Order: sequence, then C-alpha cells, then structure tokens
Amino acid sequence: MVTHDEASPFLYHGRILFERFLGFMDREPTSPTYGCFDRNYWHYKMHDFPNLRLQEAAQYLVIMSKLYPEWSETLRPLVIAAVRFWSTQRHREGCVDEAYPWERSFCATAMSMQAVTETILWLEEDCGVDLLRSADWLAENDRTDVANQMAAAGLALYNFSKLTGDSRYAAAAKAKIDSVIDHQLPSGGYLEYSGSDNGYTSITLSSLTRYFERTKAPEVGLSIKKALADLDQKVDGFGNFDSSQGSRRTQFLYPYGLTQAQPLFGKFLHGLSKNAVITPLWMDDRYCVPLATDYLLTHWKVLR
Amino acid sequence: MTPTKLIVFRLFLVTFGRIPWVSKVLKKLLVRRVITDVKGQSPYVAHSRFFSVNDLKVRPLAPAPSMSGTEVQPPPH
Repeated sequence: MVTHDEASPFLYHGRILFERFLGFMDREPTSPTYGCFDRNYWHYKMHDFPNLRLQEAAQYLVIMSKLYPEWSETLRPLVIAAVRFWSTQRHREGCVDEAYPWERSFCATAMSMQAVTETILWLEEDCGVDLLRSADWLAENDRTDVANQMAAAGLALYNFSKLTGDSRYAAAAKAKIDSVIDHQLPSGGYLEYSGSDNGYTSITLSSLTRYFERTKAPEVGLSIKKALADLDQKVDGFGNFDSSQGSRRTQFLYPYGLTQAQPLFGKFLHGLSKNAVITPLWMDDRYCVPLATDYLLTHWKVLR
Repeated sequence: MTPTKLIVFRLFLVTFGRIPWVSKVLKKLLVRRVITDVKGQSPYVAHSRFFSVNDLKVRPLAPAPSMSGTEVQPPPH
C-alpha cells in the first residue's frame, strides 16, 4: 500500500510495519474475536487467552489514519474494533493479562490503557467503551520500582481525566508521576527494578514527555532534563550504548522523549541513517508495536 | 518449562490464581525468581536480546588473486 518515498526516517521506519500489523488483526466484522491483534490466539488457536498488550496497535493505526487521511475510512472501524476487543477482554476490576491467565498485570494494564486513551484522544470518539474500572484499578495499584510502568499509568490516568473532566484522576496521575520522580536515581536514570536501564529510561521519557507537554509541570521538565543529560553521556555517536550495564540489558531507544535533547537526538538520527540502531523492524512480534508507534509519534511531532 | 509443569501451573492459575491476593503473591514470587534475585546469570529480560548491528562481525576479505600472470598459490592447510 505504501509505495512513495518519504523524507522522514521516523515515518519510514514506523510505517514499514503497517501491512504486517494489519495482518496481525482479525478484520472480519462477524468474527467473535473481531479487533484482536493476537494472531496466535484468534487465528492459530495456539493460546487460550489473548495478550492484550498487542491491542496497543490501535494507537498505531489511528496515527496512520491521520498521516494518510485517504485510508481513514478503512482504518477508523478497525481502530474502534481494536479498542472494543481490549475492553471486552478485561477482568471485572479493569485490569488485563499478558503472560498468563488471571495475571492482573500492572504493566499490561498501564501500557494498554495508555494506548487506548491516547487512541480515543486521537480519534475524538469514545468508541463506546467504559474505562472507569481500569482507571480505578490503575489509581489503586502501584509498581514503584518500575518507572516506565508508573509513567505509562500516570499518562493513562491523565488522559482519562481529560476525557471525563474528572480532576480526581488528574491527581491520581500526578501521584504516579511524582513517584517516578521520587525514585529517579542520582545519575539521572529512572529506576527499573535494581537500577537504571537506558532503553527503559527512554520508554519512561516518552510517556513523561507527553505528560509534560500537556501539563507543563515544572518538576517533570527538570526530571526529564536530568534523565536526558544522563542518556547523552552514555550514548555514542551512532545512538548505541553498552547494554550490558543496564539493569534490564535493553539495546534500543524510544525516540519520542529524546527529541528536545541535543546532541543526543542528533546522535540517534545519525545512527538511524547508518542502520546502526535497533528499529521496529528488528523487534519481535511482541515489542515491535509500541516502538513503531513511538516512531510515528516522533515523526508527527518533529519532522512533519 | 515442560508440558507437565505447564499443566500444573495452568491448573493452579485457573483455580487458586483467580483469587486476587494469590495472584499478587504469585506475581511477586515470579518477579523475584526470574528478574531481581537472579545471580550468576543474565536475568530473564523480555525486552532484550534482539539482533544488533554489533552482532555482525565483518571479516576482512581475502586478497584478490594477482592479475600479473603469476600463479596463485593455494592457502596452506
């Protein structure tokens, strides 16, 4: 479908998976799993429950529908179906599973709720789903030693307060973000279990930057600055770093949070042009979705 | 993970694992066992071990045979 050349490397590396993501999805409106992105569940029947993190592809598709308005009519119903499938598969309390049944995963709930609320904001339509119980569950639960999950939960709650106009959820979002800042390491990195990890710090930065763009909270801006300075020291001229030193050994960087930082962003762009950084295409089925979405967001913000 | 272990684990999940506090304790134990308390080996990290450009070891090519008419000697065994 996508054939013409693009000047933006973020659009190129983000959209290259477009057809693949559409292939992940059950696009048959009469199917009971319509909207599901877990092909191992709905198509191959190899799993007995769907990984709901894959529903984050809804956000990817809604951004594509804005970038390519000519596809909007086709993509819009698919986006709504993806959000509705996520909604119907939640537990009664509003949390979701990722790795095993009855997991009630804070990570999967925070990340997918963040993507769903972002999708609804992009779509400017509520998709007919009730997010209240997920927002309540996120507000009541914490993972203070895992910053990227807390930052995603904070952004999800902030988005929910924006959608509903309920300021209690903005306060719950602030509590999550404050916890991320309180646990920020002296070096500037964000806490991931036992220490800091550059890849996860960049995921945290992506959520925090979007939160900061909407709230302009000065303490968040300062925290971001500190984290970016730390990353800048660790990243070489090709956007790479020693992954063995991170608490989680990640090898990638999410670009959205880096866009305001020079020379860091320049180094990342240089690495991207030299095919030296890990792009969405290099990731597996499970993790290519959020990274590709971050690339599209970066394109939308910086180079469009 | 073996099929037997998987069946036992799944049976536990769909029975006792449905109880919220059991699910919470199980999650804590799993995080401790596979992420935070792993010593002497790399912890389980879902979000890593992707192919990176550094994995490509570029070996220098063998020199091209001379075009001057002299015979090219086979490499020593």
